[in-house]
Amino acid sequence: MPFGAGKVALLGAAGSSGGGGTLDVLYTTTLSTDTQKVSFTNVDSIASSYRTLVLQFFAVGVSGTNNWNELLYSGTSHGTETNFSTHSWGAGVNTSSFYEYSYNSDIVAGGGGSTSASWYAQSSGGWIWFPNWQDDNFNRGAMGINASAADNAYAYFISSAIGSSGNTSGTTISIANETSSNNWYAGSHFTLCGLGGTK
Amino acid sequence: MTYELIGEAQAPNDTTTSLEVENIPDTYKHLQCIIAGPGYHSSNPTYWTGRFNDKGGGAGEDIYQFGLMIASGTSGAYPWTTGNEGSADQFYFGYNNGVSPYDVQGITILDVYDYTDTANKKSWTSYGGTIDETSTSSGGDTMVVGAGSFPWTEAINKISINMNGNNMQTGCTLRVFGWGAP
Repeated sequence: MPFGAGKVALLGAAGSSGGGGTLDVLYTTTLSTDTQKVSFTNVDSIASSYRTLVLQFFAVGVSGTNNWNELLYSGTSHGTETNFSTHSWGAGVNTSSFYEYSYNSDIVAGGGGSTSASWYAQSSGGWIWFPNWQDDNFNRGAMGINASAADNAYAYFISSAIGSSGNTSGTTISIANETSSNNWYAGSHFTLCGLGGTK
Repeated sequence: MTYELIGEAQAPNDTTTSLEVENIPDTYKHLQCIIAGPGYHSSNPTYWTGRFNDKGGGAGEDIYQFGLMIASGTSGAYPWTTGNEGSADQFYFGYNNGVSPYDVQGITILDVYDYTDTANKKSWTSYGGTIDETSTSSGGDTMVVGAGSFPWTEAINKISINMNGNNMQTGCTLRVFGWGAP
């Protein structure tokens, strides 16, 4: 990990440039070691320059099996918040259903599952939108879509999820595995973008 | 590659029935609409609907084609799922299950492809959902994927959305982005 503890660096002045009505890459990282959680900090200050945030991720694999990719939307620490709500919709060998995955839980949105320890067999990618990051009228929400590759017909996974933080503020966006002992494999990369100019 | 905000509209109050972005320039390849907020100021279910270039609503104009796949319900492995397909004088692209007192979170992405192509009809896809922050059993949670066609060959220069004629929640926002070279 180039920045330690899953933290990633702000790229130049993009986050404070006012956005200019376009899409700017705010943070990006490619993991150099297996990492359980990647965090984007100080997103409140970034958000003052953009209407919408989008997180793109590609994971080359996860060290454990049957994980949900956990997305946090928190001002404090992982696993301590109590007012997130999440719904997920997935398909694959592990689920064929629509879940109310959490309520008053520590996450805001679930992602895809992994079914194999073989890195090439469980690569996955997806997008997560935070469209109302600056809105004063609603709690901050997120919606993501994820697909995981597989080396057999029973191990694929497609999912989408939507969640609400129950809050109108927050300073950190993190993406992690549900099981804290499981890691994103080195080589996975994560990019946070800002869309659409100043508020 | 460009990705730029073209315009946005926000519901000023809970009697707002439509959000519009017009004068869309022809300087991009595709459009992406990001709709933030639950949309619906009611505890009853309804659809997100919309029109391009104010087309529809008149005699013989029920020719928007669309299909939706909706997952909804409460916790469990066998939720309620349904669909909606057909033709109408506006296109259906999202869904709100409706929860009183309306404190659901809503997010919808509406992509419109090749919107300046004057040789072919256009197509769109949508992806979105709502979540009820108040309960695990109210059934106010949904996720939707949709697709459809705009059956005219003219360039799209206006997008309007509504909650099938119902009132919206204060603060619901439509943002239209353009991306790619035409």
